[in-house]
Amino acid sequence: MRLDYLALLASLTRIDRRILYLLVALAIVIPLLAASGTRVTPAAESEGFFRAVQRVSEGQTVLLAADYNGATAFELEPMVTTLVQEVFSRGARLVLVCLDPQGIGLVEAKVQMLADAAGKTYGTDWVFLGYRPSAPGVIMSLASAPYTVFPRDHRGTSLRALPLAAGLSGHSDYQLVAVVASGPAAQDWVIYGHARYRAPIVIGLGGGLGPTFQGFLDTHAIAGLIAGLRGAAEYEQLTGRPGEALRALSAQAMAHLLLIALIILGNAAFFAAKWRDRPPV
Amino acid sequence: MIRRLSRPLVIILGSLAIAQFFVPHQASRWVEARLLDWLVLLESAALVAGILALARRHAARISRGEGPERALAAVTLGAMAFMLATGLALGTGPGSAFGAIYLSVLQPIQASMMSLLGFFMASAVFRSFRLTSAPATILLVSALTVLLARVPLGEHLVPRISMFSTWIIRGPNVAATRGLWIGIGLAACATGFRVILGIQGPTGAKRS
Amino acid sequence: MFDPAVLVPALLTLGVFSILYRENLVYRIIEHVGVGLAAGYALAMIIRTGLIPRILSAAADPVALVTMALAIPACVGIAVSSWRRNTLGTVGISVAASIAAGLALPGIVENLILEQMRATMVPIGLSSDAGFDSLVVAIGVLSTMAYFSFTREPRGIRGVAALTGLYTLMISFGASFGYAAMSRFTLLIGRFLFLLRDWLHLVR
Repeated sequence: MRLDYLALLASLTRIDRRILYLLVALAIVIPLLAASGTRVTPAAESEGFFRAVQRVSEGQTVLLAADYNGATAFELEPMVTTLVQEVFSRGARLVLVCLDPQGIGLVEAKVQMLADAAGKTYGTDWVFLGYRPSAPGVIMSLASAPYTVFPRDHRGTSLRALPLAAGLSGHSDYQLVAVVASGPAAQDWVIYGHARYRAPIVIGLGGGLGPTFQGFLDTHAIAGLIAGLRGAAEYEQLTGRPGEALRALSAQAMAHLLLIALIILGNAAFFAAKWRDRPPV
Repeated sequence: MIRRLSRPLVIILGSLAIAQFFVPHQASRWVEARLLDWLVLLESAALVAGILALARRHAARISRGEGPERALAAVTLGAMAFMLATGLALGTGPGSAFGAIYLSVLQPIQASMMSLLGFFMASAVFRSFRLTSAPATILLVSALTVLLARVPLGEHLVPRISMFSTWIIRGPNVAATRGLWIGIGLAACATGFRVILGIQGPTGAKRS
Repeated sequence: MFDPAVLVPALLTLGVFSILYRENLVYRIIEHVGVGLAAGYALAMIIRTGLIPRILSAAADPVALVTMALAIPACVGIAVSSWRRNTLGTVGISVAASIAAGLALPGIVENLILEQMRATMVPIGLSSDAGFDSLVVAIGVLSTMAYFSFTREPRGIRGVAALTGLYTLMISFGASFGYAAMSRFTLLIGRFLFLLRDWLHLVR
């Protein structure tokens, strides 16, 4: 009996979606179980991000805006982890702010853990200003009048009582502004922050927004950009701190291959069905 | 009277806000700090209004709905009240019950919900990403190039694919997004001036 | 594996994933719990870490007190507007929109218009890679803007420009799709890594 390949291919258009879901799950689970490490070639924009952080020296202050929430944490937390480790290892100080009301607990817990591991003291080496609504209001007030919008830190202590925050006056306090954002907050930092902060701005983004921000590299509105898990992995490699992102990259590569296969197979099935159902000549 | 005063108020405050950029004077900084303070306070109130509207909607579903809809609305309201009460009564700091509920319940729900998109995207790609026209073909080729370049195997399958992908991102992609940014900028300026002049926005809409 | 701090998130993850098999009540309950908790979380945070410290600090600073006192009627109006439209709320929203627009305009003009135009106006040519890339970008920017120009029918040279713009946009959207796919899969990897490593201890 001759197998009808065309009919078989065409029948794929009616494949149950749950089979596709199962394939996706397998494409992710198998590489995770295999636990193979991987290396990446860093892109120029990731190197820009790395170099901007490297220029921060002991005693200087970095403003970190961690604007993500629980939904996108896995993609952006590796960036925050590596960045904060780098900042603390260089002896620099950290002012942390959050523009996403759903991300406050996550950001605070993560940085607290990293600060404890690095032996850093709250109030002297780092400060968490917390969350306020209105991204423009927060971005601009931090550059001109920090005490107006943040009279107290996230824990309710007066900013003037904290050694690190007591001398804050505005845009000239920071040697670097680092933004790790999953949504439009990154755009707000470019629009409202670029002209107001003297410090270079570097951005870590959720992958989906990566291409949209490439144009800001040419205009020098931002000094560096890392996008998605791949960007986080590149940054981990550049700093020599392999972490969650490099670990998860092999699973992502497999998922990409599956997606490519699905695109090709979906089109093949579509054209096979079209060919089979064509009107007789 | 308040409504009559609103338009001059909107024009004055909007103009003062623009002027801050051009006047680097101490007095100007003082005015800016007040404007920013108002902005944050008003947006806080807007966020509270949004949450109250959600609560109201679910309260209405409890009183009017039936069966599971009513029970699910009660679940939403109950969860909201529980989280609010925990936060206000026991504090919101790390290590608090509020923080523990956030990390053990809310964060996993948010992360799992968002991750479902990975499954749905694979299914959608299989069923809808078709070579049916020239623009669709270009989109598909561009997507395949970027996807393949991000896989270590990609360079073995198609030599120099990474270079081509980088060119797509830095060339045509930058061109398109730059065109869009300029367009967005021009439209935002036009809308911004309409809002500041009170032609557009909540007070202006009624007038026009 | 049975530690509530890991077991609860694991069961919630599986509950959410149950929607992949079919629509079910467990998923819907988790969905509604998530919405409720998220709203309650945001409200508690605004009150505890935003409003209360603001009120406490205003008590010691006359300027902050007056600024806040002036904003309170509008704030109350906005909050009340969630169930009843009122003049104070409308004025408050208008004022917020006007201040935000005023503060944004210079930044928009500088970063989205002037700087983007300046970055496009660079030497172009065919003799070097950089010159060729600049040429591609310049043509792409102009054609993308031509695609969104609706004042006249796109015929002749306008039609060619608009079509080039459409193709440039498609290349960009394709690249964005590739990155978006990467992003969505990353989040899925995060959940599977949590299940396999933190819950089941199958992965180190």
